[in-house]
Amino acid sequence: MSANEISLPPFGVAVEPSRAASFARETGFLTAPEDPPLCYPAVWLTSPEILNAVERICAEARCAPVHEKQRFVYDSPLRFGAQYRLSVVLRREAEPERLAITARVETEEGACVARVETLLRLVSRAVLEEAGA
Amino acid sequence: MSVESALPAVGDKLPEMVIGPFDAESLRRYADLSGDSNPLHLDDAFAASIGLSAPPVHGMKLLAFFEPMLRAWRDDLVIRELGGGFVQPVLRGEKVTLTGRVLRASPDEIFVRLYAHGAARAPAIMADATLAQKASS
Repeated sequence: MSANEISLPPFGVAVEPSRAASFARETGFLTAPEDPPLCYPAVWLTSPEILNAVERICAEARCAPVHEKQRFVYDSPLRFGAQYRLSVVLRREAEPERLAITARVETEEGACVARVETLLRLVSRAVLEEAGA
Repeated sequence: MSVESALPAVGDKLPEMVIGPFDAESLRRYADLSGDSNPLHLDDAFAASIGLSAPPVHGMKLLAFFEPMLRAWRDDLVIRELGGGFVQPVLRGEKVTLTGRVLRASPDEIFVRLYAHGAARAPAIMADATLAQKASS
């Protein structure tokens, strides 16, 4: 692992049925879907484990994160009410400054269900402030 | 083979879908639900401080709308992959038009290019999805 890469200890997440149903309603599903929405793992990206790491990196870099890309790749569908294990790697990239977050969603038995890839552009706070000047 | 189970053809267009406009309450609900409470999406003054005339809608919320669009188009296919880049902000109060076109189609996978357009000329989101035929039971 390089100095620019941080692996978080795996942690547990779940597809909460009521939260998944609300997510579906807020993202255009007219009826309850058979499986949880593909983009539902977005709610796991704001887990304290990930959010704290992102905030620490941004504070050190004096940058603000701007969501640039997002991808969900599935081997099998998520299930309502199921518990999963999330393994997350954060990797700093330079020129331009970015933070790539890769999360692997596994069953409790270790089978891969999905990969979630997030790319954050790290924008200098000074540049943001100039934009509003 | 039924018409519905035939593979999509390269060049096929998905039915256009118009979503929004999203108001402040809608952005607040998504923020609470997703945990993305970045003030950029919720606070007019914060958005103005970086030169935006209104808070932008969460890109993730907009990307997620492609799933029901794809399912409404072909619910006999399963979506294996969905992703995209957030190119331009869509501001609160703007309508968004979602479009899509099949770029590759084979018995193994169907690749669809997707766009979300807000009020700006350039696309707000350039996305893609990879779909496959559902395994026969």
